[in-house]
Amino acid sequence: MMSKNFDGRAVTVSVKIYEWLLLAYPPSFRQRFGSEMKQLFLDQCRDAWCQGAGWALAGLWLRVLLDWTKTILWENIEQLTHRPALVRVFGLVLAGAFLCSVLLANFSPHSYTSVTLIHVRELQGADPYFVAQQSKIIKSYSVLTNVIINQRLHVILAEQNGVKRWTIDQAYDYLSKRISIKQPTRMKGVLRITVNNLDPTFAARIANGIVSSYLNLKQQNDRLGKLPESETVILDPARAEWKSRSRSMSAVLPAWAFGAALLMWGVFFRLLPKLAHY
Amino acid sequence: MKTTSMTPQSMLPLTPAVFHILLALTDGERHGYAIMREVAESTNRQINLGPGTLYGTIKRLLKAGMIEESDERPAATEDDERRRYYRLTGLGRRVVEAEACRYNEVAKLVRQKQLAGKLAKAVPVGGI
Repeated sequence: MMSKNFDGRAVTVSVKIYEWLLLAYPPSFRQRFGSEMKQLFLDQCRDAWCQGAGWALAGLWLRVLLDWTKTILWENIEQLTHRPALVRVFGLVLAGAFLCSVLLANFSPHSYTSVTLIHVRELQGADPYFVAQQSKIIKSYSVLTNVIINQRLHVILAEQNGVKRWTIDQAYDYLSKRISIKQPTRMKGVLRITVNNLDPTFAARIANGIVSSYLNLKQQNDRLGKLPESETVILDPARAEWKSRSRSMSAVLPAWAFGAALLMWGVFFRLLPKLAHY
Repeated sequence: MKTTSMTPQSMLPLTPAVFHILLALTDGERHGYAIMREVAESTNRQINLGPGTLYGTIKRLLKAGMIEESDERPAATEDDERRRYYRLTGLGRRVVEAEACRYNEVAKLVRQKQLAGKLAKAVPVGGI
């Protein structure tokens, strides 16, 4: 009696869940075949329960879910391809957006990268975080604002961006996003300072200016005895690198995104419908 | 319908699901679950059609004019009002016959190249 009740409940719940899953199919498909599919699934559930109770029902669910995943994709794609004008317009819009973004990316200015390498070493003590701390000091507000004021970057960087003048804080925000400081692996104590700018000469000047500003700050602190004694050696000062040019990601990213969307459009609306005869 | 004017040969090759559904209907009209069971049994459970695959294929076969919904119902004792019955059309029968001929040609080629024996040796349990 218990088993019969459970049998009825397991099958009823399964069919109820399947009824919800049917909602993922396109409305026209659901209206035409929904009740037949539900009836068929009910028959399958009853047979599975008679053959092997819970395990057989679980196995059936696994097969049905795989089938459901595959077929809702096909049926919905096929449904969309029944509106060829809409699909074509969508494809044309994507192609146009892709073309525009490629052209825009092509005409966007290059960004140049300058790199300087410095070696920092703590003279007394062995703080494992010493190099990481120096990296934070180099990117600190006091070091960067020194460079900005000394090199009048709040004016130069603003002009590069079509603005007459920035505040020091605006220039700091802009500059800090274009500087990266990394510790190369297998080079203990070495910091690699990278600066990006539209002008390779400026990129190099800023990179070297950052190192000078950091050294000045360190000298002041050494005199006051605020920080542990350390030694800094400039391994390779930055030079104007004309070769290391790239376009900014903000210019290239839309082209990649629209290109990927166009590719997916082709796969979903042109290629897959031709293969969709399972 | 556009596709009904096509020749049976132009619709080949059929996918295994389509071929076995048409094959299941050659003996007479059947409802969805009966088709599914017939396909599973005749293929030694190698082709287990899910509800989505079965009715997706039935939709395409109806559209292509290879099968049609039957108006006639079985005897009242065997009938289930909730079910719909499907049967082959003339085109469907010609298509499944053409596909069967194609399979026959392939089987001849397999025998000619003496592949069947090799395959039987390679797959001793259950066969392919």
